[in-house]
Amino acid sequence: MIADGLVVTLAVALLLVLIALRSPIFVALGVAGVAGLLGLGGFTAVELVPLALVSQLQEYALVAAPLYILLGEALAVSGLGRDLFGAAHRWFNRVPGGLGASAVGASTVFGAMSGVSISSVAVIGRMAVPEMLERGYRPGFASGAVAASGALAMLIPPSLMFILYSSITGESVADLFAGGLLPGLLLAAMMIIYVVVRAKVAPENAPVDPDRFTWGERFAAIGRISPALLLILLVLGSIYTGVATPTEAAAVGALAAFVVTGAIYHKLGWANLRRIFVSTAQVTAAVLAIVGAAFVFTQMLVLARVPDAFTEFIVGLDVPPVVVMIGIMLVLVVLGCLVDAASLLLVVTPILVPAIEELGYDPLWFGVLLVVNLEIAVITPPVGLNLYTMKSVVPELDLADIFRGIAPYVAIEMLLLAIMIAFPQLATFLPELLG
Amino acid sequence: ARAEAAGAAPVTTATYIPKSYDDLYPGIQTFMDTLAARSGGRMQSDMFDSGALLGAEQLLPGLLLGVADVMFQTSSYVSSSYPILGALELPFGAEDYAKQRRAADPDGPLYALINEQLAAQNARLLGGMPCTFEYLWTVNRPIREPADARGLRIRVAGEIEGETVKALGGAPVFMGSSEVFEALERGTIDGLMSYLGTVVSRDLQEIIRYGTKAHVGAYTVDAYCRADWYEAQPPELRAALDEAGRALYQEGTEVMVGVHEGDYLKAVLDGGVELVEPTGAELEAFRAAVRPVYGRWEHLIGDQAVSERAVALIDEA
Amino acid sequence: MLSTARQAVLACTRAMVVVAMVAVGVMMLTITYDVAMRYLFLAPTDWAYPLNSTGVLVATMLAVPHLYATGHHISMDLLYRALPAGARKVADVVTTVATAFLGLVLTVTAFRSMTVAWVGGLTGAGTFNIPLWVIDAVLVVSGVFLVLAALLFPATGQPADTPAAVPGDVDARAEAQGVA
Ligand code: NA
Ligand code: NA
Repeated sequence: MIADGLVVTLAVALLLVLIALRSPIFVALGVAGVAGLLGLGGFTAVELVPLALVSQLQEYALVAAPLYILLGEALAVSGLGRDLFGAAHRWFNRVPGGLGASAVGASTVFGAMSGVSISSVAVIGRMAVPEMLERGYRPGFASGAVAASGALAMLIPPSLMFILYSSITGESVADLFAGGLLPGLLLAAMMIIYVVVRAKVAPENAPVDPDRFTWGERFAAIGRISPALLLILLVLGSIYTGVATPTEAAAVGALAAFVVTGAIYHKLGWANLRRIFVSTAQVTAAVLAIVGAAFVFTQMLVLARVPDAFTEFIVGLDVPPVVVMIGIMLVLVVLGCLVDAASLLLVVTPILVPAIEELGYDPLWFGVLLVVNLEIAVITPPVGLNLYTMKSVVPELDLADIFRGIAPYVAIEMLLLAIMIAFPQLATFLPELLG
Repeated sequence: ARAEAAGAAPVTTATYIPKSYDDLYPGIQTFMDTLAARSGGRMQSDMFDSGALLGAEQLLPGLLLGVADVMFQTSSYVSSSYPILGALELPFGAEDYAKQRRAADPDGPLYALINEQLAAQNARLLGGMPCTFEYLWTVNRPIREPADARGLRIRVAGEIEGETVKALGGAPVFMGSSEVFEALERGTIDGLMSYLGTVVSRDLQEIIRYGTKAHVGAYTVDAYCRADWYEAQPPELRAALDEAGRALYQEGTEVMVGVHEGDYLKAVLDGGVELVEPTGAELEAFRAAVRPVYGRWEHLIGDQAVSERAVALIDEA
Repeated sequence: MLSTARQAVLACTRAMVVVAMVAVGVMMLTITYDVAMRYLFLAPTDWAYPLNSTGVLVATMLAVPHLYATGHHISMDLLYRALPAGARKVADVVTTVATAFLGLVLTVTAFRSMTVAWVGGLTGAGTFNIPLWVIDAVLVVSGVFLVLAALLFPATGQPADTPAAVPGDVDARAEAQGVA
């Protein structure tokens, strides 16, 4: 047992070292997993590698993943990001920090069309941040709003992270999509309130917006994005009303997105068609390679009986379950600083879910809570994917400014965690209502 | 690691079945207990259940690759690879459950035939539990005669079941058992073909309204090992493995039947499910409708002498 | 010589990505077809489900080597940026070796699995059965090209202020190494 524990510890250390040395995450997970398997069971245990890859990547729930990515990319080439931001700007221009609030608002709506947080940061950030900098916004204030709100795409359905959680736990994707909606909207509201209050209290962060728009301009902007809005309302509506499964809705929705982009926005030339499919293949493979490799790593943990030992430890603790839950949340925040969101979800879910079920918690609620944790993970340095995506789409930003600007959002998201632990209904109300 | 202390390598065992399945898991536990006792503690099982190590689809490849030494698996998952297992899955194969149970005796001639066939693919059955028969379960309307099944989308788990649904004029739908409740609720499927265990373990009685109590299919839950691994064991350990297989077949089946006929049947009836039992002409119509399944299965076996012998052995059991 | 080998490998991995892209398109179309058959004609297909769950695996594994060769996998470079040039070289060698090792393990184990599936006559369960060796063969191809990509397109330190690749920006690293 001690020997197994040592092997697992070394494998985890190898994982962190490889990530720190800039190995691709899937390589780090795969190599650490293989090394652990070798230590635990020799060459026989390594035979698990193809079995683990096939078993995880053939999980039917994952079929929805590339399809939602395709849907988002097909809509994005129509210039939707620019239109969303433009529309939000026309409606928010009179409030303090209006452009910042617009960026959060645009990310919220874009989050309902995309399941991936980096796409959201790239698409909204590429436009919104240079615009804010030009108007004299402080760099950290501008980049913080976009990097944090970009992550809303994970919590607001459709969401790749919920699909991954479902593929591990068997929780229904439709229920998870319903569970994430209210917390996602609440988080968006909290972010907008923060931007507005901060701009009001400390105006040096965000100068007053001189632009004025007529109501006609405002409604015209809404009109321009309405086909895409209608499409996504139909996709989510068909899932929530039970007309279609999330996978069916994704496939039909993706096809419809091509029709909208082609027939309504007239943006479906060969170049865009190529961009859509290249992007989809890249994002799909980049994320799902991590999914497959993470499963190799977690099967190594299973072979060492880590989940069993963890459940035994948690259940044996002589403290109220809520204290355990708060402890788990704190550990996840720390882990979220060190590993990327997908790996964090994929590695901790098989360890934590049996234990929290044993404590009497609802795995659906926990899934939503976990994704709120991921909202924090993608914006906390040193390993915070949204921060680097921000830097890569607006290279003139200084990483130190980005880090400073993101700190208040970490606090906001921890507040949301506390609210969700106190009021689990926030996540469970909609799934129960719709189920 | 636990068994190493006792001076022997542990037997890595795996199944997708969770401990909470109180119809099936007691048999699995009996197998492991008997194996440990009969081997004088030399064969301790290191069990990974609930698909933790190998999911339902990975069990067989995992066994053949040596990741697990013994697996417990439902025949419907593997009978496409091992068509001989289909003998005990055929619709109306045995007239009654008692005969099905006698036919599945690990010391009987059918098992000898099965193991003879599996040896070519380096697998061996140690023993198994013949499950109570599969029925058709529907939401909107009862299936009293084959014509009632026409156009219905029926969830199935294996190939023989799928062929049976096709023969009845329905459309077989494949999906994991965890998705069935939602699929029934949303109308993605109209019903399913399964034994009582699947219904109760997934609380499907909350949504199903009708059950057609006819022997439209069956499966077995069996213990497997690799044939070469079995041959490599010393005689006393082979005997212990055989004895464990017998215990699974005898005691495990006894527990399962008791649970099904008692708690599970009661749960289904209490859930408001109406059971219809075709008799006479209706039953004959079902038998006639599923005849093509036999032809399909014989084609999968590819050796008429073998398929005929298997059917005859069930008939004579 | 090296450049020719790189171009040949890149041509293969690019072809694999094209197959992956087609697979995603086919998934969209076949599921839509299945939905239509299911709801309009009460006759769902028995092939859409197994075909599409295999499609995800195929689309992912076939694209992995090209993403590596072109520097599109997700990685974290905060510590790396802070390292002195010499240490960065060591880190790059570690990444190259680790990737080649993973590709090798994948090739060998998937080949073993493919052999066992072939000899054992293993297939999926259902009325539409994909032989398991076919799926393992995809893993073998992916593993072989991952080894080649690791060796021919070793990790290199990018200048710190060059933006990392973003979605849609194909062939970035390969371009930096004079091919593509
Ligand atoms: Na989303
Ligand atoms: Na982080």
